[in-house]
Amino acid sequence: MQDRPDSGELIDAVTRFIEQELLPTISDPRLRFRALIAANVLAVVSRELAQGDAALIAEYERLITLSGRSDDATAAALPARDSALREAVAQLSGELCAHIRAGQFDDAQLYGPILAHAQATVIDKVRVTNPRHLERLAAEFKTRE
Amino acid sequence: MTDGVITNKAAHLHAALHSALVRETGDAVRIDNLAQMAGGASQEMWQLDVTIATGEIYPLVARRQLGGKIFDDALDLTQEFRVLQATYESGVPVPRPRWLLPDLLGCTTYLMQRLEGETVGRRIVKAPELAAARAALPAQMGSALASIHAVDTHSLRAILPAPTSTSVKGGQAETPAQAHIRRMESDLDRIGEPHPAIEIALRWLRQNEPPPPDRLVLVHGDYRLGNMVVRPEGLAGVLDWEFAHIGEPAEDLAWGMVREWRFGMDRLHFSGISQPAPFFAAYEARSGSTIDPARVAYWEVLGNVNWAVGSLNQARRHLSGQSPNLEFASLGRRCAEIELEALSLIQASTTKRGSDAGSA
Repeated sequence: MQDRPDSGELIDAVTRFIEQELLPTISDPRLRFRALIAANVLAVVSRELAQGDAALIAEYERLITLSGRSDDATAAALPARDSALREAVAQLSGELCAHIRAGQFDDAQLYGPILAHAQATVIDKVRVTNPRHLERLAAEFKTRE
Repeated sequence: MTDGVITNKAAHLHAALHSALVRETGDAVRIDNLAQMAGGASQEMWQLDVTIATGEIYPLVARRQLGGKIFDDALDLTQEFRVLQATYESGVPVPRPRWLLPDLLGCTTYLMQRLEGETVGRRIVKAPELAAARAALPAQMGSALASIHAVDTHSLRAILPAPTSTSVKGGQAETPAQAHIRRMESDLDRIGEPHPAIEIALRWLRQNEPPPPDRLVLVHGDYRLGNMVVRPEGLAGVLDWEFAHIGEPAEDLAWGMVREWRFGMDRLHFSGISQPAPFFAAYEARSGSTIDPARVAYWEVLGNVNWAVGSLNQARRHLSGQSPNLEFASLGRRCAEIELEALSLIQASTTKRGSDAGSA
């Protein structure tokens, strides 16, 4: 185990350095833009670390259900190692993609759960990459109603 | 030391441009204020002021091709210059193309008029001093787009990529939408990262395609803020022709509707500056054709999917080491937002159709 600061705390320290010390000194607009991207990228990593693998596990469980393997205890068992879990999700998701493209979910009854899965997966990603975007969308739909 | 290198490079280019322009014009040439502008990984842009004989001063931009092209389907500078010529001669508001220099210090280079004005989308949608421009722009952009779509494509077909077949109503031939879908599918296969949301959207695009277009036109291919020169009174010119191709009008009509190009002013569906109506009305008035909003809505979904796949492509340019670049890297993580937008549009269109059918 490493000593503190942990990785999240280190990233936050660098983000703070960019935003509070570096940015005020940059006048070149293109360099400023890239420095803002750098700070933003670090904020994404920080949220991803804080989230842990909860979203990845949820994605795995949905994929197992959608692939009809939830009753098969061996197939459905959650891979113990993080890298194995990632590989399993990539594998299952890749199979799902091939099936969608081949038209195997065109039927309205099959389509609903697939759409729900894709939406949940994408929303979980945006929670990490740009949570403010979700807030803005929510506000937009609220005023539209 | 860096300054020295840049100055050296500028001096070198200055001399080469000078002799090339003397050769082109057969007259005395004076070049002032040569300076490098923002550029890309494979292109360089320079600004300069050119005086021929003792005549007027031309403010110009020089574009130089350095290495390979950024995108496989983008035009090279020679093609871009020809398109600029064709649009300029047809009266489209574009920078006047001046000289094509096929080999200037080993690079294709062309010179065009330098249009002063704002091009940054985020500023155009918000800057207080551009309020009058925002009021005028939708109609001006609609009218300019109609003039682009009216450019005679006969001579351009030899230069431009036509990803689509020339047969419009043949039925057998691939339509512009199908050509895009096929290209996006092959891009995804090459990228090799599973994206169920994109696959769902591509499937939806295949199953909900409108009838083939009744005309094929010169499509700008990136018709949005960011590629428009905007002055306080409105549109001064349309830039960035590298994605021009033969396609259907709805592609350009829909691209400015894509959320990304509203630059944060999300409620203003057209480019973050207005609702679509004034843009459509001006296009219809100038072109004499009627816009089918459902067709544009379909192309808005396609535009979003295209941009989602594009963001993955950009991230791969970073990951592969081809152009290591923070902005490209960050685009890989922007993809999810764009996928969400495509799914939301698809869902809204399905709900709408359901309620239309219910009320009928």
